[in-house]
Amino acid sequence: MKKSYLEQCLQKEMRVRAFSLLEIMVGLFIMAFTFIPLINLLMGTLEFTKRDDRTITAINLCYSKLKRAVEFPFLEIAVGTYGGTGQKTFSTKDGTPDLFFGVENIKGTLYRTTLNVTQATGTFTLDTFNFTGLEDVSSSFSDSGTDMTKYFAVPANWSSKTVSYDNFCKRYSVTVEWQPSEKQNAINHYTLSMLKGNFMGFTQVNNSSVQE
Amino acid sequence: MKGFSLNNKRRASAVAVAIVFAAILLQLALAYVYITSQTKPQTVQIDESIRLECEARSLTELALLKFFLFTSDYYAAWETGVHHGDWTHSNKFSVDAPEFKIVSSASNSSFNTTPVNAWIATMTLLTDSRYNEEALQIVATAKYTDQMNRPVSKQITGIYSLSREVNSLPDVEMAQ
Repeated sequence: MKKSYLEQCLQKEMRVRAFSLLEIMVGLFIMAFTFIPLINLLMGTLEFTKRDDRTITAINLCYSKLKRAVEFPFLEIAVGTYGGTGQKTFSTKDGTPDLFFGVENIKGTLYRTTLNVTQATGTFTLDTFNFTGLEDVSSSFSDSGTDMTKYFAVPANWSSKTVSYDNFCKRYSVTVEWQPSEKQNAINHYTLSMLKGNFMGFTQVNNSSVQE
Repeated sequence: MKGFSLNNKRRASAVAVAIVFAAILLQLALAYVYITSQTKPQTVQIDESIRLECEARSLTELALLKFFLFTSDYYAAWETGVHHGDWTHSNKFSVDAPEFKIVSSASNSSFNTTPVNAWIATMTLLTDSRYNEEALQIVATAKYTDQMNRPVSKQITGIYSLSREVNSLPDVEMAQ
């Protein structure tokens, strides 16, 4: 049976559009070739995620330990270095272990924490008001009695001074060290630092005891 | 001849479709690259937030210590401002004091060593005479420029309740 012109064309078209084994193989090769960098990218992303997870753990560990350290009474943690390769646990008053510095294993990664406490040094600058020789000093800030505020406007009653706060302030620094990846030998560190003032026993402290 | 013309038309449309797809993919890739370059990693954001907070908190602590050590001077400076409109002494005690304007690298890490600027923004007495209550409010700001050259800042507010007594230092309790 003789095929119509349309059938002949369609048959030809189908022949032209069909894929040979060679074409499929070449196509697969090209696809595989393009997938190599994509898979590498994916693996890299997974590695970065793991590294970020460790970094965030280190940051949280550092922050929580620092916050806890500054909550301890001023005199309870003396100037010095704690933890690191050694171990140090600070306990609450009833003896419960509360704050640990040293090496800890968190989710299969080792984190080394160190607390470094130093004396903070510096000076305060201010204008000081000279109450000496003025009438009824005791009533200066009370609701009754002589109004002292009139003296505050007199420049002669004010003088500038600079006072050291060396014995009243400490700097607490917590450092966390960890290995960011099994593939690297490098050690990362993260340090947070905060000042803590001595507000203990303030009823016994007056201005004259401050070093000038 | 007719068969060839039919084939040619199809090839042309295939090229057009391929170009459109390629253009869309390229646009998506460009958008992805742009978004990635503009987005700051979460780790960096957490690091910045904590570092800035530590520096600002250090300053509020230092300001509170100064208040404790020189309570009467601060009250006198404050009263001068309230009664005579002269805030020079009060400002010198707080916002203008050089010890409250710091550039610090005390908090740092393997991946971020950029120094942080911190200062006391305000230090005010909040008094409510109706309830015989008084509080000291200290606001500290910390700011730094990140690796993308964008400013990042954080403000910390400390409010401390006070009891003012004649001829004695106040009892201070951290309220917030």
